[in-house]
Amino acid sequence: MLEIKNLHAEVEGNKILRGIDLTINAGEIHAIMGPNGSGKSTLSYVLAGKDDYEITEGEILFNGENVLEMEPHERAAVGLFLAMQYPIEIPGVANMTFLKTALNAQRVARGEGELKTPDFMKKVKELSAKLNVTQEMLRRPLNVGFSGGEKKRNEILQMALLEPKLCILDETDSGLDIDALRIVSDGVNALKSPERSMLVITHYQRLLNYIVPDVVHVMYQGKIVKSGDKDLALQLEEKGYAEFTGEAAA
Amino acid sequence: MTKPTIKTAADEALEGLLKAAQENLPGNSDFSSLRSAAVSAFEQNGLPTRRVEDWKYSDLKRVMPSDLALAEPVDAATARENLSGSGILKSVDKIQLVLVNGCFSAELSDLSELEDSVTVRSVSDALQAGDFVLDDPEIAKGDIALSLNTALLQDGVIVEIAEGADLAKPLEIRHVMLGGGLATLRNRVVIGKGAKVGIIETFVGDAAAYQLNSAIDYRIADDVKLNVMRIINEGDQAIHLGSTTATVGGNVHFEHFTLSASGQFVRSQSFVAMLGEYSDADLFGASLVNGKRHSDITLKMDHAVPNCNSKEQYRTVLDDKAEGVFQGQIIVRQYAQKTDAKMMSQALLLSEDASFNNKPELEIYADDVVCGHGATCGDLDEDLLFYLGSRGIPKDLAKKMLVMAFLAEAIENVSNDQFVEALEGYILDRLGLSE
Repeated sequence: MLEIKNLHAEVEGNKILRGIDLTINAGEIHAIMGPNGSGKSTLSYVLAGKDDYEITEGEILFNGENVLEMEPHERAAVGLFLAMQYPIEIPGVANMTFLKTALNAQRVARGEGELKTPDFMKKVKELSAKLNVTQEMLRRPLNVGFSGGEKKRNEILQMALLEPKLCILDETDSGLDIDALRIVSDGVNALKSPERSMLVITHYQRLLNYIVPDVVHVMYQGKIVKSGDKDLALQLEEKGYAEFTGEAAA
Repeated sequence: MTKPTIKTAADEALEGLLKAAQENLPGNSDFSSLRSAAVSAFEQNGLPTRRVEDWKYSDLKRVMPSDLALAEPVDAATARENLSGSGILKSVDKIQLVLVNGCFSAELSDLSELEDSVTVRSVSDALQAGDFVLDDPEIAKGDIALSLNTALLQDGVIVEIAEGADLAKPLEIRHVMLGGGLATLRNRVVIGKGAKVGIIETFVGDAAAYQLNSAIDYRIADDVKLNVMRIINEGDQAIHLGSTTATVGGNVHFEHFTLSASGQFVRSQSFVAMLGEYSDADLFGASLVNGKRHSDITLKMDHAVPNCNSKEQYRTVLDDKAEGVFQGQIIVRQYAQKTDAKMMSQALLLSEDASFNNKPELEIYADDVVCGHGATCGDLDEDLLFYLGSRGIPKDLAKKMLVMAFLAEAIENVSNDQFVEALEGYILDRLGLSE
């Protein structure tokens, strides 16, 4: 589904990604772990199409299509979704209006036609109930005044509604307490399917108890330096990243 | 020492018109001497140069045409044909008072629907009877647009609302310009103690080149609740000089919203004097400026007594080669302790060629006050566009949503939900976002 080949990216001359190779097949869950500053979030933004980054080498194929030539909204329409570490607040745009506009824009781009309002409302109600997103949160301006946990739940609600083929979760666990983590993880797990892949970026093994990965990668200095099964995450939890950084674990 | 005024073609044209028109304008000898004084002042000074601070960013010498003529009277039947039922606040149920080319038309107005607590008469009648007295608030004195208004005043409507009245429907004063030319009018709204009133001022016109000098004077007694909705929706070649003066009594809630939607050159200026304690004035506005249009919001808020609050919040969206201006001045006089005044002007520039001059000012002579002002000017936030894009919303649509969101925050201040809905509907339509 996703093939990243020798991807290099930089910001204002600083090389951040230095040759990423990563293949994710349909239905697989991959996790990327790594110390701060290793380029994990950059990878997620580059996948989603944020234009702060210059791609100097390599390619990204999504179901065979060249993602790097697409605008962010086109990537979304073909099924890429990034749940952001810091969801943006947009005053003046009601959450519900935003959800409807996003869903219908994607449907129109795919030639599916807009969803009728009653069908849309039914769908949102159903999904928001599961994610503990209240009616009030739907009426409020997008993410404005939402707590950290509410923002993350709202990201997962968007993901559930938009039904992407590849879900990229960038530190979705950061800032969540145990209960919120469970709600978010349940929401993510409910989306697991043989046709849907996930790329979970996290600092902590804890999230991977809830969202169990098929493959775990370690990223360091802009490269994937080791890959393994879910046990790799447990080893990292125990030993830290010293093996890769060359520094003694604290 | 006064410098000699260099007269431009526009100055000469206006001066000629001022002199020629005097004979036929209404008013008794007292008013005529006011007119003569205004004419003399104009002969002396002409239109303001850009060195005149209040007009630095809105250059009348440049925009006023050199081929000026007074607008011709239009009969009611012709006007009616051109008075389409459409309008930005078309969904709002209201009672209309109509002025065509500066003249009040009883025939086109809904006079039979007026409540008993409301009386309406024309300014030209009042001028002939010698009981139309001009006494602008201190901060409005010397203003060139008001001075020209006095010199050329044709007509207007005087609305008096009795003490304690609670109007079921808002009154709309609808200004219509047809066939081009210059029209000058001044309205007065006198509101008795404790009355609750909604006023809509609408400005519309055809595609002809016309110039409207319009003024309205609100005299607000104690305990009044007044909501004003000012909709400037002039024709494409219109020059609109609109002045509002207001004297505000005690314990008043005064809400004033201005929408600057169209017109080639729009100057909407307000002079508000807080003269009674424990009053609130909320002055808000939204401006949409595109093409080569020029839109100027200028306001002076005079806190002359203690214990009043005022909020001034304006948002402007500029595109293409549009020019925008915000000049806001809050004066807090020495005795106006416990004044709470907050002014904010925010502009969103959608094009490299658009420009905005943003000038908030505070002038504070009291020492126990809470006052603040802010001004921002910027383009759309790329992070917001990316977030919307990452959810599948194309950039063009995302931009429109953010423009709507930006203006919605100004409109949300309006307390009447019907007005909010109508204004939002208009902006959605204009942005091509309505369903």
